[in-house]
Amino acid sequence: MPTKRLSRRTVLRGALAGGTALAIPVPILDIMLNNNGTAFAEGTAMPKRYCTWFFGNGIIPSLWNPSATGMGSAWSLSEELAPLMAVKPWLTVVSGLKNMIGNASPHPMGSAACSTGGSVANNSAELISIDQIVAGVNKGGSFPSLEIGCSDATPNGPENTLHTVSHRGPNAPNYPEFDPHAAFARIFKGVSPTTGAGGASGQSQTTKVNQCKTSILDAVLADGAEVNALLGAKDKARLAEHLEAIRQIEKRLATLPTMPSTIQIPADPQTAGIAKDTKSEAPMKVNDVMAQMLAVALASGITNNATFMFTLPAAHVYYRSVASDMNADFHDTIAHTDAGNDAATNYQTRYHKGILYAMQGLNTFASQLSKMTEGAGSVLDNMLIYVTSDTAWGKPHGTTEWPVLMLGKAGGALKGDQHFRAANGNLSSALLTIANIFGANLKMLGKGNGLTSTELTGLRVV
Amino acid sequence: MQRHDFGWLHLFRRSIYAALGAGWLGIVTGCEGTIGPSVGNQTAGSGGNSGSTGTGNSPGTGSGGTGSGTGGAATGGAGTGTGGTSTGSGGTGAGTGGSDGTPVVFAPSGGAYRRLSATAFRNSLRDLLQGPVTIGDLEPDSWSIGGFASISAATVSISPTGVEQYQSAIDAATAVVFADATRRAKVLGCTPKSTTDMACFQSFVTKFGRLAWRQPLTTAQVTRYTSLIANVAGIMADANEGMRAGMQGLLLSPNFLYRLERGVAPAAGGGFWQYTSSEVASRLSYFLTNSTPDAALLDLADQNRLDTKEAILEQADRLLASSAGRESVGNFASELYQLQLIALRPKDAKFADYTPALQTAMMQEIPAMFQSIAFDRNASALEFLTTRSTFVTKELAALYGLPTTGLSSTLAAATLPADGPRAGLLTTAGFLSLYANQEEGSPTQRGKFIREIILCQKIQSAPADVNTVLPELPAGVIQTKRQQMTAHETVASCATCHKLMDPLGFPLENFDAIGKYRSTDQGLTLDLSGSIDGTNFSGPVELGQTLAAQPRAADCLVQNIYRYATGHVEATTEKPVLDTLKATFRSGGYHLRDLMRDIVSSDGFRFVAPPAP
Repeated sequence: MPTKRLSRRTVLRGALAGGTALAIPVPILDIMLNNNGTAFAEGTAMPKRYCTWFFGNGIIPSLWNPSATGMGSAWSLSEELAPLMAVKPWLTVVSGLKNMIGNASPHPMGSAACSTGGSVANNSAELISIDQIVAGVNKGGSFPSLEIGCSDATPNGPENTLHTVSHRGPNAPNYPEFDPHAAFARIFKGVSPTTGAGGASGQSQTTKVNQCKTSILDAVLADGAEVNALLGAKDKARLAEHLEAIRQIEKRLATLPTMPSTIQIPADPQTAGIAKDTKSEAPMKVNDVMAQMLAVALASGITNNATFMFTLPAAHVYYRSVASDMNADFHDTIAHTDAGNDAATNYQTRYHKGILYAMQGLNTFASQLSKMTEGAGSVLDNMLIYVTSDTAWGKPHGTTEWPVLMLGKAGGALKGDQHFRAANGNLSSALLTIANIFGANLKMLGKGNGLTSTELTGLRVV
Repeated sequence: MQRHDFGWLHLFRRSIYAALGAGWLGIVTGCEGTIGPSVGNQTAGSGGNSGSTGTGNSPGTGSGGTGSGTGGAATGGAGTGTGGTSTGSGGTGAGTGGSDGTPVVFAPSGGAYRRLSATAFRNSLRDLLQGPVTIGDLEPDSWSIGGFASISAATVSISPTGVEQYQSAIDAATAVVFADATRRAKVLGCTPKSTTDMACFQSFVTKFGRLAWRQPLTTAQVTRYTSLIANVAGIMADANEGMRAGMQGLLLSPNFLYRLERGVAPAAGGGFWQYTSSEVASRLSYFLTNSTPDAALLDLADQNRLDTKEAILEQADRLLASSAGRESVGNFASELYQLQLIALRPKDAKFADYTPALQTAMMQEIPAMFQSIAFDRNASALEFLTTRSTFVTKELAALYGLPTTGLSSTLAAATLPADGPRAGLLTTAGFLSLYANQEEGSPTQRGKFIREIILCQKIQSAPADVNTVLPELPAGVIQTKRQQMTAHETVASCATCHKLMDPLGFPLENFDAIGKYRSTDQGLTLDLSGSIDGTNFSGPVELGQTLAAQPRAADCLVQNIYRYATGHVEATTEKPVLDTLKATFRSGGYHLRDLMRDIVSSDGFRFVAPPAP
């Protein structure tokens, strides 16, 4: 088809010639791809998308780990992974990994270990987290990264790793947005559907307003440059982050993203009466609208990188909707005090139900991405969802058999449909592998006992 | 089923096994000390350390390297210079200085570049925009350092989302002002006659800018914002749109959102660096009113007349005598006890009287109690643990079993029954509800709060790899919470830490998850006996009285107010200042206003270490 010769650059050039209000079709259109739908017509690879998908309070290893290793039909889903049946072709289970950071301060340190490869210092993650390492190299879209979640039920400790797994560095947390309406307002602000309403006059007014907003931000940036000279190194770094966020706002004002015809902007969840979880229940309807918004944001190129927190580390969540016997604190009571152990024959049954519930939530997100076509395949083909938790078996804050899943093929980098066992491997190896799949080119990752230079090469297509 | 109820802390249990094995148990009796098993694996200061997440061929210069090491040399403390303390609050060994007989010589802590806390931002906008403002959500304050939002705000970076929230908040706040012609005229100070009325634009920038930035603008800054107004007025063909853009810019500027506390070098003759008059104006104002400095303070700052103890005291007295000054202890209590979390804390549906109105009242009662002690009764501050004088709404009165006649949803003074179970902070519904889960109260969380927040004793987190799994309760056996937990403590290793916390929480077991009185637990009689360091008592009232009699409770209050006032965690070298403050507080009868006067006139409030590179 001749139209496939049109490169992305050509599209951009056309848009630039069109006037000051740049209208960039950020998503990937078929027109921009090669004949196989696997890369851009000009030969560059299609962007990969990344998401950390986190759920609190761990798993039961004997029910989580598949019994057989291998690929395709060689392995079957375990009981706790059964909700992921629809996306098994994209699923990589990595079992046997160990949190080398330890569990002296279990949930905060587990959260840091699984997301940064380091520990907690002065109540903060001491290293940058994997999503931000990826965002640093996997650029593109209106937002460098987005962080949202389903429930913010929390024990309220002072450690920032209890409240997020996204850290730009020490003392630089990205707290997820848990309010569906606020998430909608932020993600889709200024994004117009391709069918475009408003007409020329509406657009011209928007252009003027955005010009004015940019003038304001320019003045603020100039103030920042002045005060910067008076600051010490650490404060300079903090101010630089603040000013960079302002530049990102300016960038969004300068480019008015539109959606491709194949992707609909979801409705504002508020119109359906779906509001933030204020009862610490992690309602599935909140998960579902948040998952949908994030899937659209990733598929349309609004962002290439994200964090989704189904629940927080040590979540004091009440999964009341799951069963009549689940109206209890999932962390204190169900995970830590319910009778049972981690044997497949005498396990903690209520705890198991909560884990299944989280996996159902994950399945909604992953399945949606698997059904969104992109090129010759789906968005999930170009995606890597790293799934993990703040502990292995929750009851004793286990550090071995840490839950690690990767969902998606990462643009052909991951084999998928595999249970890969890395017995006693360093949990940070998963992070290093992910970082380098996205081109971070790290020789090592982590700190202290979490430091590793070993990648999980068996997961990757070589 | 046995319940385990310490938040994620229940892993203490594990730690205790290890602690005993390693012989680590130690109790530091100083106010800032640490109790419980100490951790042998303190992490060093962060960022850029050799071998951390690295890029390319140069590990150690890696992407984790936005260094943040604190404590140690930075604060002049006795640390190793690698930061990282057991409390996460900097200054390893604070409180132990001088224990080897060497006198500690005072040296001030370093300056700061401090973002306004959420409440300070809100209050400042209210005062600058001369009325109530609606601003929506802001990035949550961090409490990670020193126990106060205002301290963490000097270390924690804001996220991109947080910056966007500032933009939305300021957009919303200025919209309210510009929708009301009278208020708009008042705030602007002039009415532009055209889209090119440069005189009015400039006058507004000069006056409003000085208020918002808490110091006069430079000529270049005045030009920058005057041009912005003219530019936007031209584009939008509307002078007011221009003025609003100017106002938004001045409020979005780091010069409003952050307070620079850098100090100036001493005049010839030596001595310490000293905060500038302008910085002192803001330090006084945000400490005593949690808002932006008023006209009188800014005038004195412009004239550099806040550089003496006497001048500072005069202004402190003026602010403390004003209604805004009541916010000093009010916001201190709100921050220290993190009362904002009450609004976010859900409870089980069985608590039908747990309504938003009740939650609001819970958040308001404790600050009002402190304000009454300090300003209305000039009573001993230690009464916060024992007072029967409090404030209730009709919702709170109903919960407390007090008469509700004539009460509304606005706080009103009330006296608790002299023979009742309530007296002081630890029997307020706000405290009891915060330190509880959705279904029941938590003796361990309550006891931990008392150790850490009332007595400034840090309960250590636990070493790794100890089995925390508890023996199961036989089927059909019903026990009170206390019995369950006492059973836990028959394991010696568990008891080590729990004995420090639980006996302080058990006397509060006659209050449920929302702080309502109960006489039984599971139908069983309650045992309300408790003990602290060998002193036995029974019930919540005696608990408060016993704590108030502990010298370290007063010392801890001084330490906390000092932190809140100065905006940093005290370094070891500030020990002489703190020792003096504690002694004076004690000998003066524990008066909060006197303490605040002593703090603002102390060397620790006025002096600053030279800027770090």
